[in-house]
Amino acid sequence: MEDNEILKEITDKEYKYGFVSLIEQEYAPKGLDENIIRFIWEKKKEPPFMLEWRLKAFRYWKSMHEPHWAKVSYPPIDYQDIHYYAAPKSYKEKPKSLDEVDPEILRTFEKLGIPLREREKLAGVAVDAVLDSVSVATTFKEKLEELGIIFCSINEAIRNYPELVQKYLGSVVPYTDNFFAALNSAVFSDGSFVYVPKGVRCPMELSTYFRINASETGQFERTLIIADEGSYVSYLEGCTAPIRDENQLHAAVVELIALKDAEIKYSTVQNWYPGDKDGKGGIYNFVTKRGICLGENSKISWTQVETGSAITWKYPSCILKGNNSVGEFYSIAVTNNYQQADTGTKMIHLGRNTKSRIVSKGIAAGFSNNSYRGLVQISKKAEGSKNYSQCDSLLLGDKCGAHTFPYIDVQNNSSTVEHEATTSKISDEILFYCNQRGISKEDAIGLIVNGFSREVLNQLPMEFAVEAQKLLSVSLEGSVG
Amino acid sequence: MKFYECIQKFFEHKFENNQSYDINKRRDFLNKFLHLGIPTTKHEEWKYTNLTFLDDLDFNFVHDNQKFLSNNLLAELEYHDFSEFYFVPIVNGFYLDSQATLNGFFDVQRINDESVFSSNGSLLNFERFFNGNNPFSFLNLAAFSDSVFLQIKDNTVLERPIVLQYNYIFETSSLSNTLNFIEVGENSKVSIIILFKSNNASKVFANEYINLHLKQNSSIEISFLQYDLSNLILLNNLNVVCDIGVFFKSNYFSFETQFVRNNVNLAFEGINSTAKLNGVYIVSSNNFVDNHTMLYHNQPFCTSDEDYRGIINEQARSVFNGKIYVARGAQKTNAYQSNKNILLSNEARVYTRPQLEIYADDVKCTHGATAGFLDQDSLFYLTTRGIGKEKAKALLLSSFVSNNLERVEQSELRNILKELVAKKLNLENIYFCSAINELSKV
Repeated sequence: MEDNEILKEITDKEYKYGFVSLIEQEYAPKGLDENIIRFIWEKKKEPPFMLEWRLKAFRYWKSMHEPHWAKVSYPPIDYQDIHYYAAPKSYKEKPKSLDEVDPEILRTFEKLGIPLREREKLAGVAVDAVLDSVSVATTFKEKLEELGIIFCSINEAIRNYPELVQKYLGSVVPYTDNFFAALNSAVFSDGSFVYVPKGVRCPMELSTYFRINASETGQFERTLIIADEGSYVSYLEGCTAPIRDENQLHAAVVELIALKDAEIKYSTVQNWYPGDKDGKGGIYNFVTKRGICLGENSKISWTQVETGSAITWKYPSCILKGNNSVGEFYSIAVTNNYQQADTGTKMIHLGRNTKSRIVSKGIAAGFSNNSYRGLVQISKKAEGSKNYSQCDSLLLGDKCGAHTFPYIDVQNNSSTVEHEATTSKISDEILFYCNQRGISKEDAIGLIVNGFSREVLNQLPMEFAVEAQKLLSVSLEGSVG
Repeated sequence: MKFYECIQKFFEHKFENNQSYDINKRRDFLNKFLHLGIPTTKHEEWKYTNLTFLDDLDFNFVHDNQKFLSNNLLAELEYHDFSEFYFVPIVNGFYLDSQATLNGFFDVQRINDESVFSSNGSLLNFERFFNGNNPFSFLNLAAFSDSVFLQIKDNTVLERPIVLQYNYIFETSSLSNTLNFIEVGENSKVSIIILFKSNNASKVFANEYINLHLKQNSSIEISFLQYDLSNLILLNNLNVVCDIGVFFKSNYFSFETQFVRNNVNLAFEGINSTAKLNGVYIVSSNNFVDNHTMLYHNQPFCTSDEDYRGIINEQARSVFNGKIYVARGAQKTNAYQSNKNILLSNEARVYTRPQLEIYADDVKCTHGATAGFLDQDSLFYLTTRGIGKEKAKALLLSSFVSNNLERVEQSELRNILKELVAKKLNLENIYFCSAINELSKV
């Protein structure tokens, strides 16, 4: 009985970031056609090549069908019933400094725990804040510019560095890749752009904070990160949305490009509104994230903590093209109530002696379904490659589901692939042991869940690790399996 | 398109004239098959199993008992290696009762459409397994040429195994479908060996079904032996329903098979049951072997343990697709799954997909899969001890699969398997202990 109460307590837990900011918004009319795409293009003041690209993507998208292979179920999405562009009315031109930013927007981000001003004072993290369809502020720009690092919204990048964008945009995730990538390519409104020049080690964490505020909108952001030869960058991403009864669509594309000897570390703490305890509302999170290790000895590392969204459909992947390149994927996915997550990774080994490592931890509670779906492909030319995958699932309660769907495809005989997975609940023996030592049931579970996910949490940058740990303890406090 | 044409032609001419067939039922199933079609690689369950070659093959359907008997092919029929055992031969899609050796403790009967399809017929328990995941299941129901019901009575322990032998001695390209049922009575124990033999003279497409019902507290070891099937496309399907307290063990051995797909669907419908699935495949040249297992843990307190190992050489390809489904409420389930592969050549390909789908929380489920090459350190160690590289390699490979061979309880079969593996690995007569003995003499 005690278990039931505790379970009830978690499922009743309120979503902390569910408030709505009263900011006057400007919308594009609902629906999607070529005029809307022209509207977005004009609003964004982009060069002509972008319009052409967007329209090509849109036409291709029209010929595609929504994929249904993932282990998630949801009512059909009406793509004509969404505003594809929303921006604060006060927003005319991106503010030059924080002083020009609408105080209401600043307050919004402060409330979310991202005080932009403080972040500016306390050295540490440079933030690009994206509200609905526009980037409202980017901090630390000057300091980064000194080192030659470009960190700005993708919209600014398209206008100011068209040659870089034209070269790399869509090179990892072409618009033909999948349904949601095509949609994103057609209508993406903002996102972040990072370019780290040769041999530069980015001195601080770069971070983007995505916030959906307007209702009946979709957010379609696009992130492009390019690490030139021998450079290093660590990038963080966080996201929240208000509590609403409707389901909102979020279809992002992230592209990473690591040239020779470069390293990109990409961390996400995803906390979109997951819907209420009856599964009403919440964000549909259909995201395409992919990185390519283009040069030799390059490295891409994905770390994600997925706690939000009604539906998560996300497979951050690595294409290991350069010889000796390394791909990593660390993930914790927590689902509660009626959340559904189908997440995992793809490691495509193309170069010789490439290595990849996958550590995925799924925690399912309530009525949720949590799936890991991953592909490890070792092509014929990828001699001497190695992969190690581990996916563990923890079930809390008997109404939830945990699933694993690994795909392994090996095409040469000098590579090794290892995959292992376990699914279990928190064992009574361990709980009993902790009780014996005077640790209460709740604390013991916190301890065990923490230990279960430690391997992934350790990969997060300091600033995020604290947040993620808190997030975990909030969503799983006192849960008993 | 030829394949579909063959089917249509067959149904129009021969089939409708056959009095003993339940035409309506069979038509329904045919339509279901035609509706689904031959699965393409876009079908999740057939992702790595490419059947496009079927389209161009011209098959005769087997549906004429007389034709086969009138031929002198019987003379060609090779008898099995287990002369001591009970023998149930199925030749070219028909049960050959004149050659069977039986015993009073079990029954073998040919059954007609009515007893298969009727509302309380043999098929009743197994209908759930016939679904869109395998369109060929409907083809089998529509076109099966013969159906045998093998029943082991209650409270019976058969000391000698039953050999169910499929023989394919066709002169032209043919398609064989049989639908067989095995029922093991309460508290009974049996060992069944399923042999596949082909004269490899013409291309044969075999789509065979065995539906196995294990009653309370029964125990079975069922072994499939597939070797030297260079001209056979084999879809070998086993559906199992387990009642309370059942022990089920399956052994799948595939050596030198042109194209084999082994489907196992098993459902635990009672508590306290155990299933052990054991498999070894050793393939080379352009062989293809695909092991598909689907275990439904519908009831609590059941254990399943899968262990498949393979050695893949030259351009051969192997697929392992294992799925464990734990239903809501099937608490205290233990499910283990492991698939290990050694690739010996750069052209060989391995696809492995161990999947878990779990809806109960008090379970222990693990799966593991590896694919790799021979351990270079072990190889080096053996060569430093004066063992030639080839022999060392063979030793390591035989030890890789030895565990799975040792798991076969039936000793005669185990010995035959060991010999086969030794032959495959060019170990001649050396095997395990004998290898070590020989080495100590040197």
